Amino acid sequence: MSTGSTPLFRRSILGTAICAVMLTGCGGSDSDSGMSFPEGAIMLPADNLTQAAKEAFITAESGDVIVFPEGRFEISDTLTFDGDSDGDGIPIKNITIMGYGKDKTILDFENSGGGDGIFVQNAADIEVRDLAVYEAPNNAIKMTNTNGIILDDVATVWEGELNSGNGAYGLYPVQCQNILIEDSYVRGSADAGIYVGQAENVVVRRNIAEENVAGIEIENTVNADVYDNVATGNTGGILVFDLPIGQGYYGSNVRVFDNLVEANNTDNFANTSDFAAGVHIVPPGTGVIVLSTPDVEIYNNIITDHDTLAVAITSYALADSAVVDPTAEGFMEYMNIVNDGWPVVPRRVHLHDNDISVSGTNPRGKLISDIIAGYLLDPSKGEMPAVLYDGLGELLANTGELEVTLGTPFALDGSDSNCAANNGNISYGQVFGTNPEDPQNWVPVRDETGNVILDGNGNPVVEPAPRLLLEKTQSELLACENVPARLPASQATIAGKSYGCGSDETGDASAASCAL
Amino acid sequence: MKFENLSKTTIGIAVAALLTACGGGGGGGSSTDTNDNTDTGTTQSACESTTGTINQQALASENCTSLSSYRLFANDANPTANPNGTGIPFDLNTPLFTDYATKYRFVFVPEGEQAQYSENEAFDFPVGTVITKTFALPADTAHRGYENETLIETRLLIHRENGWIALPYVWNDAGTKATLALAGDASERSITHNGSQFDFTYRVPDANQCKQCHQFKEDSNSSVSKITPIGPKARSLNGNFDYEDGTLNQLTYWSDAGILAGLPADMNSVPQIPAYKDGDEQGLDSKTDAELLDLAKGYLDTNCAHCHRPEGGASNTGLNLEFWRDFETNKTAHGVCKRPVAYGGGTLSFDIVPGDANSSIMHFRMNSDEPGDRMPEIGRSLVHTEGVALIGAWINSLTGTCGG
Repeated sequence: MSTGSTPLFRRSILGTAICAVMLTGCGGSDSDSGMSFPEGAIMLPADNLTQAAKEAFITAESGDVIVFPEGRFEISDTLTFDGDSDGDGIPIKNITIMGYGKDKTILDFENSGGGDGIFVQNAADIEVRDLAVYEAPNNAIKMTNTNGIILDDVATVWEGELNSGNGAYGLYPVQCQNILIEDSYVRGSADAGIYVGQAENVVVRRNIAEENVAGIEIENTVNADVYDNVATGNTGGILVFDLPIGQGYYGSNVRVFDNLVEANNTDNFANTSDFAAGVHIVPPGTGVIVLSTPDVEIYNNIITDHDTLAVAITSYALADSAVVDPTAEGFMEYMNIVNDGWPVVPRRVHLHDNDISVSGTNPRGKLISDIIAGYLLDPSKGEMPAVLYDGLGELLANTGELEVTLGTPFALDGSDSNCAANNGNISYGQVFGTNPEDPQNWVPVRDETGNVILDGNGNPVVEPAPRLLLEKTQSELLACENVPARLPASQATIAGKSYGCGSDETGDASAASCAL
Repeated sequence: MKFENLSKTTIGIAVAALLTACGGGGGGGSSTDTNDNTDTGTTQSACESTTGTINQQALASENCTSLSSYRLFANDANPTANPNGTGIPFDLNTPLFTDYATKYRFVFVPEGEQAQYSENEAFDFPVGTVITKTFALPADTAHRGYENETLIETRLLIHRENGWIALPYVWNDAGTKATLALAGDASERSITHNGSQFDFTYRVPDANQCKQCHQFKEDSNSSVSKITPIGPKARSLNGNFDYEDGTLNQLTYWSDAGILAGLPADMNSVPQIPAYKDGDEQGLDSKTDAELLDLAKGYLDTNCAHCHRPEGGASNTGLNLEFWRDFETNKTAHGVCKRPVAYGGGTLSFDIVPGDANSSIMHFRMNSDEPGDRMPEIGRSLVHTEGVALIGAWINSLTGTCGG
C-alpha cells in the first residue's frame, strides 16, 4: 500500500485479530468459552487493548459487533463511543459491545487516565453485554444523548472497602431514551449503582444492586418500570427522585414492583458534608425513597430489615427550605426551575400490597436527625414509623400561597393524594399535618428574645409546626377513600423491538411481575 | 456514518479473512456497503494529488495519513507559521488551558468565500473551511516559540459537505512528520513552569473525545449532535493580533481580508471576553468584583462552556457557563449554591459556595489532576494554577450563603 493514502489503519491489529478468530471457527463461535459471536464480529486482541478498542469504536459501522477478549485487562483511558464520529449527522445504529461474560471479560480502569470507563454519546440502538467494568475513577458505563440502549448481563464493580474514593455511578444512562437494563450486577458505587436520569421509557429488571450508596435510582425520568430486582446492602435501596436540574427533564409515571429490597443499612460512604445533594441525603437504612416525583406506584415489593425507614415519601421542601421561603436567596431561581417543569411536591404516589417488615431498628441519618430524635424521645411514640411521609409540601401547597413553587392545593376529591394500603402490619408516620385549617399545624415565629412576631395587621406570623404523627396501625395517614388508578406499564423500544410490561414481548423471564 | 474510508478498509480486511477461512461462504455482516471501493489499494488517492497549493480535493473527502498531504503550510514540518492559500493565524483572548502547551491556530476559508458573523455562536464557516490548531510544548514556559518547542499534535477541523470532521495528527519525535491518530495518543512529557518542573502524561484525545467537546445539539429533542468549532466566536476573537503587517483587531482583520461577513459596524456591540493570560494572576488582588466576574466568566466560557451549556456534552449537569448568560439572574446555573447533579462532591456540598473557594466543587475539580475529579475531564493532565487562582479569587469575592 502506498504511503499517504487510505487505508489508514493498515497497521491495525484488528485485521489480524479477526483472522485469528475466523480460523478457530467459521461460524464465529469460540468453542473454548461456549460463547458464540456473529460472523464478522470484530474480535479485539488482548494486546494493546485500549488502542484497539478505541479504533474499533471510532471506525464502527452500523451492525458491528465488537467483542472484548476473555480475561482481566488494564485499560488506560476512557473508551468513548460516538454514534456519529465523522460528524455527518447520520448516526450509525445497532452496535453491540460485548465480552465473554460479566465474570469472564473484566475491563479494569484502576490506572486509567480517564474518568469514565466506557462512555457512549450520541448513539442509537446500542447494546453492551457480557462484560464487566471495574474500578473506573468516575463512572463505569456512562451514556448520554442516546436513543435505544440495552445493558444486559454487565457488571460494574468497585472492589474492596466501600469508600468515597469509589466511582460515582455504575450503569449511568442520562438524557437518553428507550433503555433496557437487565440481569446486571452493580457493586461499590459511591453514588448510585444503577442510575437512570433525565430519561424516558425505561425498563430495569432482574438486576442485583449491592453495597452502593443508592442501589437503583430513577431520577427526573418519565415512564420507568423497575421490577424483579434485588437491592441489598446499599445505603438506600431504590430511589425515585426529581431534582431541580433546570434542563427541561422531569419525572413521572414510575413503577417499582416485585423487587426484593433488603437490609440496605450501609452507612453513607460517599459524602460527609452538611448540605449533601442527590443520593447523599439518603439516610442509611432506607428501603425506598420517593423525592418530589409525581405518579409513582410502589407495589408487591418485599421491603425488609431497614435500620431507619422502609419507605420515605417526601417533597423537596424537606431537602431545602429555600424552595418554600420567598425571602430566601434561591427562591426565585427555584421558581424558574418549577416553570421549567420541576415538581417540588410528590402527588399521586401509591404504595400498596408490599410486604414491609422490620424497620427502624437503628435509625440514623443527618438530614432527618431532628425527626428521628422527635420520634424516639417522645415517650408516647418511642419508635420510627416504617413508612414516613413529610406532609410539608402538601401542607404548604394547600395554603395556596406558594403556588409558584408548590403548585395548586391538592384536589379536594383526593385525586392528588399520596396513598398507601395493604403493606403489612406496619406503622405510618407523617412529619407535618396537611390541613392548613388545622391550627395544630402552625406555630408562631418568635424573634431572638422569644416574642411572637406580628405581621402588619397585628396577627402572629406562623410557620409549619412539625407534628411527628405516628400510627402504629394505619388509620388515617396516607389512607385514601378511593383507590388510585393503576399507572400504565412502560416499555423500551430498541432497534424496533419493544421490551417490558407495556410491550408485546414474549418469553420474558419476569413476565409474572408484569401480571401483578 | 463513521469514518468511511477507514472502516471500509478495516472491514475489507475482515471480509478477506472470512473468505480465506470459510472458503468463500457468505459476506461479512457489515460489509454490504454497495459504495465500497474494492480497489482502494490501486487507485490514486486524493491524498497524493498534487493539484493546487492546498490539497482541497483531499480536504474535501479524505482522512489522509499524513498531515503534509493537505499542504496547508509552506514548510511541512512547521505548522506554526507560513500558512498556504488563504490561511490566517488567530488567537483567543483567553485560551483553553492544555498543559501549558503553546497553541498555533490558523483558519483557511476557501478563496472568495466568507464566514458568517454570529454574536454568540461560532461563526458559520463555508464548506471547505479548515481550522488548524497545533500544540507545542516548550522545555520552559519562560521561553516559548517554535525554536524552543517540541511539536506534539495538530488538530484539524474540516468543514465537509455533510458537516465538520475532527482529525488529530501526532508529530513524530523528530518533529518532521505528523500522522493521523484517530485513537489518540499518550506520551510522557516534562515542562518547567515558573521554575517548577512537571512530569506528566500528555494525552492527545481520540476522535470521539474530540467530539465530546466539539459537539452541538441544536435541538434537545434530537439525538443528532454535530461537530462544531469552539474557538472562533466573536467574543474570543475580539482582540488584537500581531500580524506581519501590523497589530489589528482580529475581527476587523478578518472582515477586511474578506473572510468574515456581517461584522457589525459598531465594534462596541461585539461581545468581548477579557484577556486572561498566565502571569495575570499577579494582578488579581487589585481587581474589582466586577472585573473579577468578567474575567471569571470569560475563563469559564472558553474552558468549560463548550460542554457546560444546554446544547453541549454536559447538558445533564444543569451547570451552564456561557459568557453571555447573565450572572445575577442565573446564579444557580453558574453553580452558586447549586448542588451537584452528576458528581458526589467528596466532602463538598455546592458547585460554588460564595466567599469560600476551598469549599466549592468547581474550584476543587479545577484544582485536581485526578481522573474522575479533574475538570475539564479531558484535554489536560496538569492543573492550570493561574486559572484556579482566578476562579478562586472570583468565588471569594462573591457574597451570600447557601442554605440547607
